[in-house]
Parts: sequence; C-alpha cells; structure tokens
Amino acid sequence: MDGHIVLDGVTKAFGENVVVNNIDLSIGEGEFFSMLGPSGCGKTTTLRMIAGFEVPTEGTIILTGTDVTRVPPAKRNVNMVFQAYALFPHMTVQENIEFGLRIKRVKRDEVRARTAEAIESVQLEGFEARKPAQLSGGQQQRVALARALVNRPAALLLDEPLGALDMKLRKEMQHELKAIQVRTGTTFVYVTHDQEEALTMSDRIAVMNDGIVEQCAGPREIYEHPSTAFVAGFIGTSNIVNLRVDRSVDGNAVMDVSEGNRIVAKSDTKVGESLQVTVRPEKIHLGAGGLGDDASMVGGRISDVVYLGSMTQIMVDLATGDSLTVHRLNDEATTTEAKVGDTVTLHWAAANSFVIKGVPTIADREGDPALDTSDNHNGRHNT
Amino acid sequence: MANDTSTFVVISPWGKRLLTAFFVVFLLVLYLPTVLLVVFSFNDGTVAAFPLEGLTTKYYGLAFSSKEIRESLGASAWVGLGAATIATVIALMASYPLARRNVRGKAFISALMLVPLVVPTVVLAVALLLLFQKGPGQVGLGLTRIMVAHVVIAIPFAVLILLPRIASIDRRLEEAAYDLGATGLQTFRLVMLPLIVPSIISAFLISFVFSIDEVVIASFLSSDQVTYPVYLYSGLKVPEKTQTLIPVATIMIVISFVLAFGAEAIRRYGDRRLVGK
Ligand SMILES: Nc1ncnc2c1ncn2[C@@H]1O[C@H](COP(=O)(O)OP(=O)(O)OP(=O)(O)O)[C@@H](O)[C@H]1O
Ligand SMILES: [Mg+2]
Repeated sequence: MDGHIVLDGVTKAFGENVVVNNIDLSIGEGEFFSMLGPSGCGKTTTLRMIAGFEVPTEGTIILTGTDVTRVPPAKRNVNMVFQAYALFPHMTVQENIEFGLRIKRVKRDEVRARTAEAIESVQLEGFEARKPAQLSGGQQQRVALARALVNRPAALLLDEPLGALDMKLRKEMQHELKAIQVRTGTTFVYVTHDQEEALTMSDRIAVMNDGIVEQCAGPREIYEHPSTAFVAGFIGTSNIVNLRVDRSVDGNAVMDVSEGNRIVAKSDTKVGESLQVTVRPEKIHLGAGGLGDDASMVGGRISDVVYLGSMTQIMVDLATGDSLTVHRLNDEATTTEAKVGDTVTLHWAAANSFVIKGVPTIADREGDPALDTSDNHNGRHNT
Repeated sequence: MANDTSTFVVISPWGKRLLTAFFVVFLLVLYLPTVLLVVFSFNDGTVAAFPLEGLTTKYYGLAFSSKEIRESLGASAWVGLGAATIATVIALMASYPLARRNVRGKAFISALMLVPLVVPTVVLAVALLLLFQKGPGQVGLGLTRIMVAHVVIAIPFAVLILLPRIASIDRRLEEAAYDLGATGLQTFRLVMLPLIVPSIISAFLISFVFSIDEVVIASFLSSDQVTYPVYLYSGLKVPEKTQTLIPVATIMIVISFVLAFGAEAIRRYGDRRLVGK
C-alpha cells in the first residue's frame, strides 16, 4: 500500500479487551483525515499508536514509507495536539513553542525565525511572554497547535482538539484549523466524536465503531451513501426501512406495499429476500408527487410534528410497521400545516434509497434509529 | 478555595466568639512556652523564673564560647544536612515510579514507606540500636548511625510531600515532551524537575528540621559525640549549664520556625506554579 500514513491490519488489545480490531487505513499527504465515532470506539488508541505512545498488538504502521510500528514517539516525525493541550505550565508561550526545536538542537537564529512564524500563523503575536494559565482556552489551543506545527511534522495528530471549547469558539477554531491546514499543507489526522465537525472539515472520514472502521470516504459520500446501518444512524438523522423484495425491475428491487405504493432501491437482490434501505429525511417529500416509476411512494399517518425553526420534522408511521422521519423546509411554498393524525403520502427519488450492509444492532431497534444521533450511539460511555 | 467556601458557611455571632476564643487558647498553648523561653534567654539571672532580674545578652556569648555547645551544634548540622539530603533523594527515587508507573503492590510499598511514621520512636530507637550493635548492620561511628536512623524516619515525610505533587502532574505533559523529541532524561530535567523543585526543597527542609529536633533516637544511638538536642536534654539536669542552653535553644527554635515556614511557602509557590498563576 502506498500513502503518507498507512495502517496495515492494526490491532490493539489491552489484556483481553480488543480495542482496535484489524484496521486498514491509508492517509494521503496533505490530507485532512478524520476519525469519527462514538466514545470508546478506539479513536484515541488508534491516534496514540500513530504517535507511538501505544504499540500495536498486531499489524504495522508505515509513516512516509518507513515502518515505525516500534519506533518511540520521540523518533517519529509526527506531532500530537492533546485534548487538554498539555502545555508546559512553567514555560512561556515562546518557550513552549520553541521546545521541540531546542530539543533537536536547531540553530538559534532558525529557532527564533520558525517560532516567530508559528506564532504568526496562529495569531498569537504579543502573547509570547505569557504563561499558559494567563491565556484563554482558545489561545491555549493555538499555542498547542503552534508548538506542534513549528516542528514541520509529516503529520499532525489532533485528539478532539476543540472538545474543551464552547460552541462559538469551536466554530471559529474549526475554520481557523482548516485554514492553517490548507495553508501549511500539513497532513492532519483529526479525532472527533462530533459528526458535524468531521463533515465540515475533512477531506476524508473514517467512521469507527467498536474498534473497526465501518466506512472510510469523503464527507458527502459518508452522508449520502452510508454503507452500513451504523454509519447511517451515526451521521445525521437517517431512516432505515426494511425492504422485502417482491419484484425485480431493471436492476431495482421493489417492495409492493399496497396498490400504487412501493419502496424501490437499486439492488439486484433476488425476489423473496430482504434488504435494508436508508433514506435521508430531507430527501423525502410529502404528497403523491410526480416522480418516475422507479420512485418510492408510500402512505402513512403522521405521529409527531416538531417545529425546528428553519424546518419541521415530521414523523410518519407506515403501514409496513416502519416509521420515517421527514424534514420539510419552512419556506414560503409550504402553506399547509402538518398535523398529528393526518394521513399522508410520501415519496422520494430512486437515487435516494441506499442499500446498507449489516443488520442494525438491538440498540438500534429499541431506540428509534432515525432519532438516535447522539454520541453514545450504542449506549456505551467509555472514555 | 477556602475563601470561596467560607462565604457559604453561616456562623452565629456567638459561634464566632467561641471560635475566636478557641483559636486564642490554641495559640497560647502552642506558643506561650516558646515565647517564655525566648524571654528567659535574655534574663540576667541563674534561674529561669519570674520576676526577671534584668536583661542581658551575656548568655548568648557564653553559650557560643562553649566548645561542647559548638561541637554539638556542628554535629546536629552535619547529621541534619546529611539525613535530609539522603532522605530527599531516596524519597524522590521512590515517589517517581510510585506516582507514575503501574508498580506491582503499589499500595503495599507506599504503606511500607510510611511505617516509620506510626512506630513509636522509642521502639524504633531500640530496634536501631540492636541492629547497629548486634546485628549485621554495624554502621561506623555514632553520628553516622544517627544520620542513617534519621534518614529512615525522614523518608516518610519527604515521600508525603513529594508523592502527591508528582502524582498531580498531568502525565500528558511528559508525553508531550516525548512527542516533541525529548529523551526520558530531558523530559525529567526540563519538564518534571522545574515543577517539583519546590516540593524537593520543601521535603529537604522538613527532613532537616525533623533531624535537628530529634532527641530520642539521637540519644539512644550517640556515643562520644552528641547532637544538640541530646546535649540540651542532658544539660538540663545540671543547673549551672541551664542558662547557657536557653539561648541556643532559642536560636534552634527560630531556625526551625523559619525553615518550616519557608518549606510551606515554597510548597505553596510550587502549587501556584503548577497551575501557572
Ligand atoms: N491503557 C488502557 N488500558 C486498558 N484499556 C484501555 C486503555 N486505553 C484505552 N482503553 C480502552 O479502550 C477503549 C477505547 O478507548 P479510546 O480512548 O481509544 O476511545 P475513544 O474512541 O478515544 O473514546 P472517546 O471519544 O471517549 O475519547 C475504551 O474502552 C477504553 O476503556
Ligand atoms: Mg478519545
């Protein structure tokens, strides 16, 4: 495999507990790569193996073409930005940022120049003489970033770097981080459990669950074509519909729900077998609609209506027993008000039905999969 | 912290008065004897009793011209410095892995280190005497023995000061240093040591104060040379010596106070430094 950072069959077990299970990843140079998943799924452990703080139980880690599986952290050309920043409290901002260069015995002039450059790139001019405790959370975050970037690492490893910041600052820092990444061309390996953060910042995302990578693709692909039930449920709000194939037409599997009502998905699954299909709530429209023959169309009864400001979330119970969440924009075209108890027809284009692999877990079936987008998707609270 | 919480505690006016009274009594019991000693050290008379017979500093002069007193002070200083140094180094070497690594039987080792704190000093003194005289551990002359004994007893104090400090330092600080290319030694020297130096000084001072004050073990183990507390204790039985002992005792008290306060001040400074305020 080629790639800037390659994980080949990497497994990590703490005693009996397998935390990372046979992961393969290839991260490109200059890529903003995110690892996204619920608490305890092994994100930090994976990152720490890349940094060298944990040695894999099995598998190899290759960094810029060299096997570094057993190389200690000090000898790897990657730097880590810790969640709680881990700034040296007794050193000034300047001294913190210089630390790596001075350890490497870089010449004084160069240390000064590179430190100044790093300070400028994170906009901390004027704060050089301060101690970390005299800085705000966002400023500390920048120092941590500069302290790592100044070493010009082959990759920057960031473990939920914005986790400690409030919402507004978080958004600002997201933009800034991305800008810095683009400007410096540094490879970022970014751990987060915030799906929105991952979707907005990343070039590619590896969605992890229980020690495995469920799907690794670009944000759009992940959102629109979730390949497993877990990904569909974890990223955004998603509907999962069970489809028993009644007919197979032009490479489409069709379930006839009732006269004129059907659910369609692109699949060559044989008649009689079952599939699971996801469809995003904003792709479903109310009304009989004028879509083609291969569109899905199904009737149901509104069981819940939630006003969300820019849109309304409508829950519809289908005759099949499934339940769908629909998002309808509250624009001027929307004149009729949806009410609980109304009978409605829903439709969506064939291109928006996606067949997913895997069977949802028990937890998925118990809670409503469509609404369960919380971080602890599987109800685990490991940190 | 204390200030924050105290505002939430409601105390009645009578409660306040009672607390104040208690505090005054506490201070009196604690410091009155010391103050009396200081006062008597300037008393121009042979008996330490009221009324004072006039003020003088002549006993200070007398005390320091006594060869015995000077030798015993020198012995105390030697034993104290040696014991404090060795105890602090051992405590540091023990605390670091105890705070950092997943040592097997951590709790047991910690408990073992603290045992000298709870064993009565006399028992310990007898045990040490047996060890040094009859046992396999015959150690040099009297002063060295006392130093070794003081090391044993000072270690728990030093550990109690060092261990919590080291444990309170975020492990990720060390990881960050490794991550930036530092070796284990560089990490210790550049990151850990600056953060624990105040505690090291504090541990050293406390060990030293303990040693220069300790009388039971020192008297059991001393032979030809005695430390100052031992000399003081034996001298008290000889009335004509008493007045020359009091000035030196006064100076010892002052030194102990200064060191103890200094140790605490440094420890607090270190705490603030750790959070970087
Ligand atoms: N040193 C360790 N010893 C034993 N178990 C560990 C160790 N480190 C992590 N684990 C376990 O490995 C699992 C994964 O941990 P990890 O920190 O990688 O999760 P994470 O995905 O980063 O979660 P979070 O989002 O909460 O940070 C957890 O169940 C955790 O308890
Ligand atoms: Mg983590």
